[in-house]
Amino acid sequence: MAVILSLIDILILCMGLFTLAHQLSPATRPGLKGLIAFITCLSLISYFYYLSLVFHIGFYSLLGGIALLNVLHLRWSFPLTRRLIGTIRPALGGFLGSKIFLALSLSVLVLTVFFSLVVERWGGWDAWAIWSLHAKFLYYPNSWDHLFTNKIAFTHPDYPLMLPSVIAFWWRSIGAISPMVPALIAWVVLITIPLVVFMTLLRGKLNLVALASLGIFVASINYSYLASSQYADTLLSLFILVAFVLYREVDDTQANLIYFVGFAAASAAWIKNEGELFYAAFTFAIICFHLRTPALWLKYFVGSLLPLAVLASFKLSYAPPNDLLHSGRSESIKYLLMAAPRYWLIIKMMTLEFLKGYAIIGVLIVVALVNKLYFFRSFPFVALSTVLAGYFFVYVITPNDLAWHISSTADRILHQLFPATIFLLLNRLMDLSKPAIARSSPPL
Amino acid sequence: MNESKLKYASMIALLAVLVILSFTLIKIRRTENEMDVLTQLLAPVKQQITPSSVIGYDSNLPGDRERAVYFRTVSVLSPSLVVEAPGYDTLLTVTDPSLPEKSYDNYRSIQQGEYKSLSYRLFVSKK
Repeated sequence: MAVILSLIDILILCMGLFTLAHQLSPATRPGLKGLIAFITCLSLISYFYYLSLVFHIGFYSLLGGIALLNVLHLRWSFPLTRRLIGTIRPALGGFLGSKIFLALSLSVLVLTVFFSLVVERWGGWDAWAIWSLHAKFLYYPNSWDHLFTNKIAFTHPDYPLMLPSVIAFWWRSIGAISPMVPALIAWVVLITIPLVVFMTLLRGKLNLVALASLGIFVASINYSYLASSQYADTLLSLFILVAFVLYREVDDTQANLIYFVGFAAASAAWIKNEGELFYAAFTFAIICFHLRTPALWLKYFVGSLLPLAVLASFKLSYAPPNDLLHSGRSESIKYLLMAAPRYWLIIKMMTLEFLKGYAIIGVLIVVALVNKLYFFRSFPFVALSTVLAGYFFVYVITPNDLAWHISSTADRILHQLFPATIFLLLNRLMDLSKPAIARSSPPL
Repeated sequence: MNESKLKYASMIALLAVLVILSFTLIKIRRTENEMDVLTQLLAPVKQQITPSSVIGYDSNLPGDRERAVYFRTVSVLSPSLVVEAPGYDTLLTVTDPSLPEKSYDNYRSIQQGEYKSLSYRLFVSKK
């Protein structure tokens, strides 16, 4: 019963969010509105479920609350929703018989075959020892806060809760703790990322760069393997990608998209602690690049409000201190900062990891530079290099054994940035089709 | 290829996706790993302790295997807390019966069981 209610609730919520995206930014393409609806819906499930635990709201009351929200929104905007569905239906008919849809279907098929070959019951080590374990605590509404103790520090109880709360929401819906739920979520995220990159690069027609993006994701065993492991890193990489995709679309006719940019970027902070670093770096870049447009910042921060409020409530009221930044480490941090061999070790190991699994990024950078497509002063370059600098600093001051820390995390850190980097580089390479004079200005 | 051929080819690909995904989910549902072994093994313990319980844990398993079994035990018995430290009134041991067992003089055993290659004992403090 609960699972049917949940499915109906979520479906209508998605439709409502699609309409909301249209109301805020009518000029945005339907595909992007769909992406906004999907990402916002996923995040809202998590926020609502977490808040229902914090405020001791029963699961059926939560579902009732979402249904009430849907009813209120539809009552207000149903004619518009119906009209939007009416306009999408004929376009969808043509889309289903296109080469674009065939390319998408075949890519999804290949990724699904790979997923079925490598996926494990309960996922990789971190999936069951961290993410599903946190979800198991969240499944019990009266005992969920037992998680937040350093007595089981191995499970990192300070990690944010988007993935565990979404898993727990669906477990509560089906009334059982099932390994199929995290696996299905992992599959959805695995196929969503290439689809987002492909659809965004299409720009109205099938082109070589968009096809290349599908080829890169389908051929990247590292990407598919990590995405199938059911870790939160792939979900984080999706939100990082969406923040850049939406930001790229912000212009005079779609100025309100910046609300959703803020929402996606801040929601990344609710997935993993690395997401907090991403949000800080992304916000830093927003401020640097839009110093003279405070209205844009304001909208960006309004979009960030709900995710940041939920994150603050979690970090201030529940999460135990983080092992990296707890008080009493100032002396050891000073010592670590002065240890020059650590810097060399980080550079060496990160470079090796990059060459091992992400060399395609290096190839794309070389192709762009050879064709004089510079990007060093662009928004994405500033944001992503700030994130990388942050990761570097974290490695320098880590209290763990440095070599172990890098070898166990570098792959996933690069994985988090991989889809966004591929999208941004291919997007830049699309400028090759423009006249030379138009290529010189950096994108975004 | 004309539009209808493209549509059929896409539909066949998507149908294949649905079939493969369904088989994958069934495989995930039916396979058994160490988490499931521990779920079976510790089912009586889960009934014995309350969700608010905090119990101690020990094992005779070697190195990495001990880590994996402990983490999985925490997962199976959540939301009760299983802490790998001495001094708790209740102590759970998950052991390999083929290896020498440790003695716990300050505790008395109240429950035990065995499933596949693992066994468990639940102790309470004599105090």
